[in-house]
Amino acid sequence: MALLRAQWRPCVRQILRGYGGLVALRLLHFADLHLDRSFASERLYGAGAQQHRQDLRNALQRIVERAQQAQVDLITCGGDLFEQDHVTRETANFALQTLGAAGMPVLIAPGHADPALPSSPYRYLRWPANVTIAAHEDLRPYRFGEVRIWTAGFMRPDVPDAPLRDQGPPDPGINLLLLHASDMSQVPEGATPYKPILPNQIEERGFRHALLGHYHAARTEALLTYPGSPEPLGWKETGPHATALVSIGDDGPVAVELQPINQRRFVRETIEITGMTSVEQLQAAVAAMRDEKQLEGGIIHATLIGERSRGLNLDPQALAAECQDGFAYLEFRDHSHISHDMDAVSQEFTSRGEMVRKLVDQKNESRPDDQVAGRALQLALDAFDE
Amino acid sequence: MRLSRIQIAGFGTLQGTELRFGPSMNLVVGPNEAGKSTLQEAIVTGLYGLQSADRSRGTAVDRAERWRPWQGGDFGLSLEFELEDGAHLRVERDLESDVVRVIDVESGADLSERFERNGAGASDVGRQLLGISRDIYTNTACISRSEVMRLEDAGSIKEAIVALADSAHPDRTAQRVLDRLRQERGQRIGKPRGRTGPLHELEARLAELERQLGAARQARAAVDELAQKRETVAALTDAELSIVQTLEAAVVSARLEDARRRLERAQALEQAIGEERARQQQDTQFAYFPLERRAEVQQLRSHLRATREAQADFERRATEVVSQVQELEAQRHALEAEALSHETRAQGVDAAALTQEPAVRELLSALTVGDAQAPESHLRAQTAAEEVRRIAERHPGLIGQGLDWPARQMEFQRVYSEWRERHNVAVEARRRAGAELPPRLEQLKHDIARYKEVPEVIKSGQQAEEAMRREEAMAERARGRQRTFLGAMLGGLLLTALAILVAFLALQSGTLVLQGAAFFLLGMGVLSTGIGIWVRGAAVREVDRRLRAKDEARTKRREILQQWGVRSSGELQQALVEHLQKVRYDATRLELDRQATELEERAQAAGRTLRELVGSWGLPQPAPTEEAVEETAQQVETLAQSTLAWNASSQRAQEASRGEAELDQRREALRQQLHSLLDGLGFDRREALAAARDFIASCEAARTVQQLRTRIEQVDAQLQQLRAPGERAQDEATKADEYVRQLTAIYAPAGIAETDMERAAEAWDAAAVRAEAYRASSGRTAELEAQRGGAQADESVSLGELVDDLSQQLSELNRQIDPARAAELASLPLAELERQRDQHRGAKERAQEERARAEELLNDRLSQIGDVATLEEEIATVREQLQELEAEAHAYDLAIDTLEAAAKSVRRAVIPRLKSQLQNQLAPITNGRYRDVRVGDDLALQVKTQDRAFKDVDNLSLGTRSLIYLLERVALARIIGGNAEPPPLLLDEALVHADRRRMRAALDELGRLGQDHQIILFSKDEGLADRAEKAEDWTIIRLPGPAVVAAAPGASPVNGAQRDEIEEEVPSR
Repeated sequence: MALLRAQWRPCVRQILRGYGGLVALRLLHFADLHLDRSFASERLYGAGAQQHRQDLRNALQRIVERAQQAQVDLITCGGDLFEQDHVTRETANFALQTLGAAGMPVLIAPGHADPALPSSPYRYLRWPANVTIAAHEDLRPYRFGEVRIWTAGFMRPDVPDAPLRDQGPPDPGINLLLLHASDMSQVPEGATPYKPILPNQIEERGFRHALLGHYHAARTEALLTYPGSPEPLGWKETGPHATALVSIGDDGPVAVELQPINQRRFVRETIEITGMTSVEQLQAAVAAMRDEKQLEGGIIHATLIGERSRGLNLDPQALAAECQDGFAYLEFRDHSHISHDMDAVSQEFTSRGEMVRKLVDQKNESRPDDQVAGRALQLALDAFDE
Repeated sequence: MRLSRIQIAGFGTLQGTELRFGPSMNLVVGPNEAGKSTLQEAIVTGLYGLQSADRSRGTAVDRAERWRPWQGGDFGLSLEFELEDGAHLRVERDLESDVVRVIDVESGADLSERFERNGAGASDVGRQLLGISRDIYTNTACISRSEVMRLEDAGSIKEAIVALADSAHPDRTAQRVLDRLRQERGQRIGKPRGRTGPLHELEARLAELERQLGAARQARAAVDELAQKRETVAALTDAELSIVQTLEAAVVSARLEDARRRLERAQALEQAIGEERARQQQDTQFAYFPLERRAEVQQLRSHLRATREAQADFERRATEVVSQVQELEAQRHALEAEALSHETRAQGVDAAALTQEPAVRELLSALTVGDAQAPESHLRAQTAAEEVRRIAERHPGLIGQGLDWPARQMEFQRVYSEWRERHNVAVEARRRAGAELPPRLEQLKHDIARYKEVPEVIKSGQQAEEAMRREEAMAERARGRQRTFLGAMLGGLLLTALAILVAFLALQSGTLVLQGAAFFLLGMGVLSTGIGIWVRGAAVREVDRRLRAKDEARTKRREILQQWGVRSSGELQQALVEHLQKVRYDATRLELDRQATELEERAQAAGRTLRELVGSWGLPQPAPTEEAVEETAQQVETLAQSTLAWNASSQRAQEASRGEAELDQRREALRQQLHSLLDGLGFDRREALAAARDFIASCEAARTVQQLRTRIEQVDAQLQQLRAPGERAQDEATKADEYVRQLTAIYAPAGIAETDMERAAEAWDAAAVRAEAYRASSGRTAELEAQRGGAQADESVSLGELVDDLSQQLSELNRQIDPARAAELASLPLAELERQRDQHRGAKERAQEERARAEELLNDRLSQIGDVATLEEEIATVREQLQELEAEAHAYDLAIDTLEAAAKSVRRAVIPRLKSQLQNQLAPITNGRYRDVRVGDDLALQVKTQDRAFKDVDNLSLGTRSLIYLLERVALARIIGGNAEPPPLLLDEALVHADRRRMRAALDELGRLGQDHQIILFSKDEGLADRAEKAEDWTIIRLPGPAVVAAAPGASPVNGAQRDEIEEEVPSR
């Protein structure tokens, strides 16, 4: 966390350069919470997925608490507050109540995951007076003191249009942009661009700063800020996850401070079990890994590799239950194997040797991702040895 | 490979030991605990080291601990051996540091680098030279006493051999592994094609989850629809509300306009009433003038003026026509005289007779014409009859009534065309196909005709075979039931027995509970037994019935297929395939011939039809040649043309005869009509024509009289017309006097006393104008008052207030509505606006109700939506598990299939080699009792007895079995070793079961075996050593017993004893 702050401090200094007047507006910006997300694509199931959905809810509560503590004037959400395809009424009510109880205005720009469709909670729920949903596709200004925040929301899941392409210059004064959009100058790997924008467009169209959502890794620049998802949502999301505390001066300068907020990490680890002869040894190895790599509170997929001792019986689920302490979620996958002298066996003139030769041939001829022959070989040799 | 020497620095109990081996047969003899097993392990370790095939570090460590020198010192050994290529190598192993060196004994060169190193980094000398691993070497080439002792169990030889052939391990058979794999598969995945097991349960779970997810998604889709509907209804409500507000504004606007108009009209009426009342005061004196008689006065004045003008006109016209009257009276007298003279010439013909004149004239004319035409008609009839007769005589018997040759010609042309077309096509097809088929193709053609029915036969055969299979399956099921209910029956019997026992106990103890239990058990037992017997009996009968049905199906199949010389439909199908392959080569030629034949047959059929047709018409039948048929066609055409000419002539003759007869009849009828008509008119004479002419002359005179009488009547009418004006002048004077009297009677009451009618009229008109003005003013005043009606005097005030109120309402409404739309509606009348407003107000209320319902339903559905995310994750989990299980199932199946195939393959290869190696060795060790051997597919061994029967090896004596096993093991070791160096065989008390005779034979046999392999036999039997000494090629190595204290290191004895004490090698050569 300290490293993260050190990394962003120059950026904050750069944005604040020349700023010495009164603060016109202070706001807390977050995005991409994805409440009720399904983690099936991440192969995170059952209790792990439920736990992480609860983590997302907790993150929303922390965001509101942080805004209250920072005494900001406004909370903005850059879209994807929840997932329209999965959101339950209960979760929608939770978001409504949490944001309604914030005690300050909340401005939400619906994103591609939570478009303001007729069946969206944005439309069918009666939101509190302090929560404003930008349920319109054209950019419209919302005035907060001396600052106008121009925003537009997704009214359908897929909006490829560039929102700033035909946008004329706004009225004179302090204008900010709040969007669920893609900065095309730096598209993260695997991200699908929606509503493409460029940093120079933001400046050309007369906006001081763009508060954005869509990319799940936090970053801030002179003209735009992505706070990232408050909690990581998959194994590839290893970047920072934060909220953005934004201060706008009377005469226009914008200061942004990214504050980490996530409590979880997605981590994949491998554990070499060659030479281990008992489960206790393995448990010790897991504990050592947790302490060495600071995986406390993490969501961990641990893959067991190497040669397994013949006397070591592994049940991944039971093992996960035994090693769960200190992790938010721990899952084991057993890719270890019992060692066989394949070369020696394949030279035997026996049924076993013939079988090994055939299966090795078949394994060599099969595709690299086809593990059947190799697995058959392992099973058969294990059976011979038992 | 032949071991020549082993030097043991320290290995287990052996320390500082050096032993030399003979090249072929070696016997290591010594008492228990002398170190025979240690030596055996030392040899193996010299070849392979301490590590085994699985490269398990733990195993190597265990071995090292076990064989570390008991009395301390170096832990190592060296082993010298010769290879088949003459190389003489020494392997030096420092087992403590696991260092291995391979030295060429002759040259002293270090050859260690030539040998590959295993996974642990040690040189794999034994494996590289012998081609087999340490485990396989120990399992095949090393035969222990315990192994031989195990042969006492029946079937153990086969099991041991099978295990060795399968895994080079004494108790790991492929079948056991397969059973284990199948069992594991069943437990972890489920049986193949089974309906139970984890895989099936996962599939069911996945289906259920997918169903739930589908339902959840449907519910979400329904929510989408409902939300869309709610939005639509909300939009409709807003739209209706907007319309209602607009209409409301329009209604208020219209009412405002109406109120303004009413206010203006009320003010205008008040002003008009005042003005009219002022005008009425000026003409009050004419209030009672009889204006109602004004029309009557006008009418009388008009009549009087017209009557006086007519009277003057008639008087003038009477004076003008006096001379014309006199002239017309003279003309009338002359006409009267002329009419009297013509009446005399008319001979009494009156007007009625005159009406008959045109008829008499017409009859006279027609009769004259008919008489003139009669000769010509007669001549025409005679000419036509002559022409008909002449044509019929040209084709005697063929032309006449009912013979329609033109139609026959058309029929002939059709049949002829068809024949010619088919004939030409057939000739062309035959030309293409050639004259006739060669004999081979003739046979093939015959076969084709024969094989046409084969598919049906195959189908019937397959049905019979299917019936056989079905009946067999049903019989098998019935057998299953039979077995099942045998168990039930036995169970029932058991229960009955138990019931009797319990009953006995109950009788002993008198306990009611036991009695009840006994009765219950008895009932259940009897019931189970009865059901078992009954169902089993039914199953037995069903088995019989099914088997009979199967036999019947088999018989039927035989009957169907027997005539084709095959036993199954498959064979027949194969025959059909072969036939079709044969046909395919000559198919084109045969097809052309078949087509040509078919076309020829069709042409012949058409020819037959043609000839039969011609014959049926009485013409000679033509030959089937084009010339003959063409000639017949010409003949038919001639007949058709003659028939057409005959028909035309016959028609003309008939028409001429009919015309002549009709003319005669008409002439006679005209004559009769004329006679009867003239007779009725009084002109009856014998000559009708003359009488008719006389009647016509009288008629003309009568018509002249009529014309003169008409002229006289016209003159009388002219006279009457000229005398009329004088009479009318008198009448008009009388009418004028009457009009004057009536006018005077009207003027007097109105105060007009003038006698001159013109001046009286002027006075009347002036008074009428004033009276009219008074009345008009009164009427307008009344009308205006009526318009004002019963309104209060302060109506204008209230209307002004209303206008102000409505203006205020309108300004408020206009703030909420679209002014353009309101302007559009302003043109509509108020009633229409109110109607539309009420209509839209109803629609708005309905839309609001609909919106409320939609929201309620939406809320209800939203509460029903499941947790889609969890479902998706569960489905992904189950799919992943399913994929893993399926992959695991594939792996198990592949392992099972591959192992089965490998086992078969290996046995196929092993069996002949095993047999050939055993064949020659069997007779010596069995003293010639058994000379032949048979190895089964399952590697079971049978020997041929002297009575030529095969006997299972398990039925032989233990000694024989152990020797046979020994031979089999040695043979198998050689087979498993393949083409590498023949390994030294280490036999630990392997002849423990051999009696003296067999021992000798075995030693002989081992001696023969020693030609190929070096054999080291370990034994504690001194007798065996004695026998070995007597045999040739044996090297005896004696190990001292444990009582003998081992020599100090550095003074190691050779071959187990001190140099000066040992018996040394037995130089048997």
